[in-house]
Amino acid sequence: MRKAQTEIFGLVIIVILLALGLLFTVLVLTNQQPTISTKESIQARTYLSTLLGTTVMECSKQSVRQLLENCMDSSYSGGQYVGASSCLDGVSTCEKAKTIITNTLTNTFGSWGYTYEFSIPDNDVLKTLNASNGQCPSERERGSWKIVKTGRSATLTLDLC
Amino acid sequence: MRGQIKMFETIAVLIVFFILLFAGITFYFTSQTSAVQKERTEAQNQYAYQLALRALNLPELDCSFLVTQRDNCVDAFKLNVFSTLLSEQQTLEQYFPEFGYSTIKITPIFPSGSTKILYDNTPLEVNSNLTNKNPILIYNPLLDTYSFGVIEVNVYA
Repeated sequence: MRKAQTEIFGLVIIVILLALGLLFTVLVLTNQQPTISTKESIQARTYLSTLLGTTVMECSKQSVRQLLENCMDSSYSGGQYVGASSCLDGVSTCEKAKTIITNTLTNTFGSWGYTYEFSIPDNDVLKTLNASNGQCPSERERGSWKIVKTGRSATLTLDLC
Repeated sequence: MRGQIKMFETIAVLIVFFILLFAGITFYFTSQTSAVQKERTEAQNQYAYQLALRALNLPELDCSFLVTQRDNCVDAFKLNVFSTLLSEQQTLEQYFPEFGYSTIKITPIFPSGSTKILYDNTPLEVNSNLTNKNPILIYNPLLDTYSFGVIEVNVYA
């Protein structure tokens, strides 16, 4: 074999190796599972504390925190909250809390262009008050707030992205 | 002839090397510029949040009961009086060291209400502006109730 042929052969091998390396890198990068990264959000936490402190006139000036505490004592079956107190307009404390949560989220983070996920995962009744306008993909900012009432507790979580 | 071929080969290698070098430099500087821009926006956002906190902690606005102060809350009565005062040029100038070139608005969300402009000092020439919005409580001392509201701080540069 002549010297020039050997050089070309060597070059071809190098090019093939480079192409294989590139292909491997691309495959590894595209097959990576998206990792969920969560950052602490002051805005989300401020929202939760503000929400809990808001007074509801129709419910004898009770705060949203009190409505949620009352709602925790009820049970949920067949789309009804059994055992929850009613406000002056006949709406149950749970439904009233849900309306306020949806209203405030829509008029704040919803209108500011955020995707939000509000959830209360650790309580079966309050779980029904979850609200969202989409799903956060991988990166999210989170704020959480715990409410405790006679041995029972619930953690309110708001994810923003 | 053989020497010429070798020289062309060297030139071709150098051309490829410089192309790769320039591509690398361009990529590096583009990513650096976007990172700097991101940090600048972040800093501006933090400054706007700082202004919101400054406003919320002013004795002219805060919800204080005896010696305790409620976090993240403005008194609706104080807000009315203070915003009227800040609409006068002389008072606006006195608060310039606190709020600089910015606009601060407070809007009740639940129950809904009209937006109140607390402070408005817009420069003649605006190069960039950044808005920071945060939920706050608005206390009505007459009814002893708290409304859900939003404080909006617009910072000009």
